[in-house]
Amino acid sequence: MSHESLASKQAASTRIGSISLKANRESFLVDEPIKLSLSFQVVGGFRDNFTQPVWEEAYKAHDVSLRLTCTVSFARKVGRVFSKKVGKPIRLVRKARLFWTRNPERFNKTWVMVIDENEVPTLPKSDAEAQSMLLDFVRTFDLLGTDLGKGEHSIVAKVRVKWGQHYYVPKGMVGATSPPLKIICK
Amino acid sequence: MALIQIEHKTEPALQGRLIRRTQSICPDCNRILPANVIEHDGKVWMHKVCPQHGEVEELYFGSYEMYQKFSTYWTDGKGAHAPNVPIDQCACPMNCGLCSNHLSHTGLANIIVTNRCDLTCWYCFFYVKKGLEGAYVYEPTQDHIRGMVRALKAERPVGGNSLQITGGEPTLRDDLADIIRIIREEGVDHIQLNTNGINLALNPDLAIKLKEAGLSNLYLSFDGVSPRTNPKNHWEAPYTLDSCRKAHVGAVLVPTVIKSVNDHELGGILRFAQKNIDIVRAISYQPVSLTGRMKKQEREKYRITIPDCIHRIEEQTEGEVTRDAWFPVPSCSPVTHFVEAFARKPQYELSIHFACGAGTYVFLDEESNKLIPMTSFVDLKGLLEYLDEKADEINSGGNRYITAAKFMAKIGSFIDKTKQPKGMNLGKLLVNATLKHDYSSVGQFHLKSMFLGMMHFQDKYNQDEERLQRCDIHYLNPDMRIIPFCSFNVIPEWYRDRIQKKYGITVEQWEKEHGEKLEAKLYKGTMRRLGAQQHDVMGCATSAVHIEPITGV
Repeated sequence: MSHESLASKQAASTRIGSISLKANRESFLVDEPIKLSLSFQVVGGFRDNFTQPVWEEAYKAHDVSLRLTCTVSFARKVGRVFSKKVGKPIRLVRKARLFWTRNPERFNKTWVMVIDENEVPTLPKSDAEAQSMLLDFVRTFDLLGTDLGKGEHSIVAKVRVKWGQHYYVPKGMVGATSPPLKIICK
Repeated sequence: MALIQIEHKTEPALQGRLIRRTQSICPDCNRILPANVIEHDGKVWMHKVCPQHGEVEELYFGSYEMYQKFSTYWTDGKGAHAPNVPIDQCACPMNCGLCSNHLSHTGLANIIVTNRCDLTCWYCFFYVKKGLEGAYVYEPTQDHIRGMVRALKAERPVGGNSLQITGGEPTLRDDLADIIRIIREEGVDHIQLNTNGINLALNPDLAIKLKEAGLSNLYLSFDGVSPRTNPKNHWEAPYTLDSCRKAHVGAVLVPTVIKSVNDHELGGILRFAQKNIDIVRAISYQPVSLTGRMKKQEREKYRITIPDCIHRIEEQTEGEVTRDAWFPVPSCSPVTHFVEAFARKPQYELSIHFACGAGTYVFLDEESNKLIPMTSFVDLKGLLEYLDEKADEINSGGNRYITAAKFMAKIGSFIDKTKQPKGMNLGKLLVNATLKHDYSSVGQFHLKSMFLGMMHFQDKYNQDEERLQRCDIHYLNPDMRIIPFCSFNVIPEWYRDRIQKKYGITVEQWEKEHGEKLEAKLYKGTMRRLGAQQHDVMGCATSAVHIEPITGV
């Protein structure tokens, strides 16, 4: 199988997994911030393919820079659907840079630096750590009680992750919606 | 292409947090060593141990915070696709030339046209010193020079197009104008002359002659604004600039920054440049490279790094040029990548290591007479992010014309027009330069602005092979090798000295052939002596913007 068709097959299996949305408690006053914790992972082909041997090949093709854009939005249930947007969508950008390392402990030339959404650069110790740094998301968000209003609400987080064309994965986008979370605003 | 694996010894416990591991050399024996780049006390250090000569810890970057910010712009370049030294195993700093493992094409090529100099600065390692064993006068012939330039133009994927004539003091060569003409004939568009400016101060017609031959600008050594910090050309520099004015040749001031010697005058240098903004296009601050064997205490006295210089400039300009205004050199890459994606062909790229250099633009606000950094009216970070995203979009199959149209529509949102210098349309200028490749308006950009650059060349104490492998300032040599600056000068016994011996002649032979002593061309300080009698008109500290040149001295 050619590398293109392999990458394509793996991209098709890429999805968002283990998505969860939690609040630090169920009940809030309407004028206080609601702290939400969202976590999810990008799993499947993209993740499985993001390994050192593939970085080596990508580097040879001068494909050295990856940009991953994640958009998170929240929605409240109105009637039977989650149609009412809550707050503004939040955009997070993560990057990976493949580079020729001179680390004498590494027997291969290519390694990766991951830059998170807060622009903190990190050199992972292993492929698995690189995958986790790039593709695992654990974030807290503040919603305002006034965004929801008084009453009992059911909210979800909608997540979209997209990336461009690369040696190890074709251009793509995956999305998911978290299970609903009950919030009471008093 | 694997790394040459090196012997691993048990190393002492690290004092600080490990940032990354790299390779360096022993300052005593040049053995390739594993090295740790670590953080402690808010600074970045290099730590290495030679089994024979022991441990070295050296300041690598004076601010961990800035190191982190700069490292996010790390982007490896396209490499040297037409290497002169094909090798399988990467063995930096050996076999430079460029080798198949080098990661940057030539950004700026240096040609040494002579290693004779009319000055004898104590910290300089470039000039031939009479009396030293193995001292050779090196002056490549015009044929050699033509060959070297052809080697530069033959680089792939991007042929070199920017060249610096350097020395010694290049103006000591009588055929300098002919050399410039040769370089032009071979198709180099940008030619700068690295000089102390003394001969140009003494002879304004020389600047006109060199301009007519095709010179683009001067790269003028300028270490401070007082005779003490700048004994080299304090009295002469204003006259050199006046020669530049007459010849319409721009000047870049180049201070070598040494802690405890001239680091208190970095702001003063900027003010001097501001006074002469009609002719000074840029300042290139160069933190000193500590050559030769030097004790740790002495190194600590003189060692200064890029963040230290940036902090001092902020302090010494009372916050006019803030530390946030500075970006590492490879931050240009998103612009290059966007243009490459749009034009569909490789472009000139500054892909050096993020710790090698930094820069910013400042504009003169004529009402307040203050310098305004570009970042005061441009969301530069946002703009670079946007270009990065759009390059990705085109490379992923997006329509390049639609993306370009989006870019044109969006660019205004990154510029605060209320703070933009009067008469300037930066948005239009950027669109012209990136999409139409029309650089005619860039001249306006430079008119009331200055580029502030910083380039920290390495030495044996802080040498990082990851930096060397990405170096884009290269030396052209008569044997057709193109050698990175930080090999050529950091390990002269392998490169510079050997080349100069092979293609040079002994001092004695040179003196015999030319019928004069080497020291006969040493500058006698004519202007300094005249200046002592005319303090009100001479010297950098007291100079007016326009002063009439003295002639016939």
